[in-house]
Amino acid sequence: MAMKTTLAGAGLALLAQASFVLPASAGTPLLSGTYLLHERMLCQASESVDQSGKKFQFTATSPGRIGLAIGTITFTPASQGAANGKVKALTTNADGGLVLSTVNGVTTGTPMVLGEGNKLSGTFKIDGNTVQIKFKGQDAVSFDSVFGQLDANSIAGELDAVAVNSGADCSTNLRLDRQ
Amino acid sequence: MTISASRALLTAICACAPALGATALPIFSGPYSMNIETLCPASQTVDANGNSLKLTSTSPGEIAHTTGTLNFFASGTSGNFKTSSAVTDGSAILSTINGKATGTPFSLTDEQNFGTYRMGDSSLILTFDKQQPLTFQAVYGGVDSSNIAHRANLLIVSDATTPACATHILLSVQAAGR
Repeated sequence: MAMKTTLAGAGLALLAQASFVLPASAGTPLLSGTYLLHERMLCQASESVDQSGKKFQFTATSPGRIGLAIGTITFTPASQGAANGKVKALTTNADGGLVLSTVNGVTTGTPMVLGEGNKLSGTFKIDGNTVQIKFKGQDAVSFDSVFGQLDANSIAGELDAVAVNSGADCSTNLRLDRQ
Repeated sequence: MTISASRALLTAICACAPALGATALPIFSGPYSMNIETLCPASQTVDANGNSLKLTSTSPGEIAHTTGTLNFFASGTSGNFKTSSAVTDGSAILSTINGKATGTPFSLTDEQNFGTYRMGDSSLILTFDKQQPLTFQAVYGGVDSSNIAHRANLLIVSDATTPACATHILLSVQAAGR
């Protein structure tokens, strides 16, 4: 019994010591500074075929979307060590429909085009493994995230994240690397 | 302004020139891991007139993923490269219309290729052997004290096919400690 008490006491002492030497990296991962951005968004296409008697009707409901982006994204925490703050991005995007349908001469969906110098700004919030990014004029997107390469201040050097939009028709994959 | 004053100004400008070296273009050097994704939309035409519906797959689209290495043999903004990679490639939509199949299932192949490259501020031109140059939009990161970029993200929309395709590339330096 005495041995157990001693061990317990030693354990508590060790824990107390450990709490003093825990590195900051053991805390919640943070995002701060500028990162290279690599993003892919795929949205499902949808179409319907209706038969009424012998008559067929084909409707291209949605062409879906392919959206690829590269660029930089800068996180500015509200204060030192904060898990929320402002975000700015400068991106080049490739965007177009996933399925281009021409029904009776009318085309649904747009071909792939490259757009350069897209500027976005908004806010971000980190809660556990969720990173929420809300750009002005867009819906907030909540990414399930994995943080990597944390530094001594718990700032992540890498982020891999996925999200499904509120309409449940788009899947996004995001990769960030500290610049 | 007199000629001598102009010369003095030019001399002053030239004296400042070395400072520009601090913001010199990053360079590539050695082997990088390479991940590529190519996505091409599918396209179709539908003619529905009264009792008939005719669907024609004009393009099955394409989905391709590549993982491998890209080795830059020079240490500069231009030079030669070699790639070694595994590639999955298949159609976005497989259609069978009145028994006629369009599109191909995924296949996995190993590829090696080589060519030349030229870096710009926000672009990278890759010219594969016996092919037309491809100009990618580029962002560089992880630049070390030797001005070597450890990472690069690239993007291109190519209209070599109809509909046009988008290709996305991630490069990350392979050597440990770099």
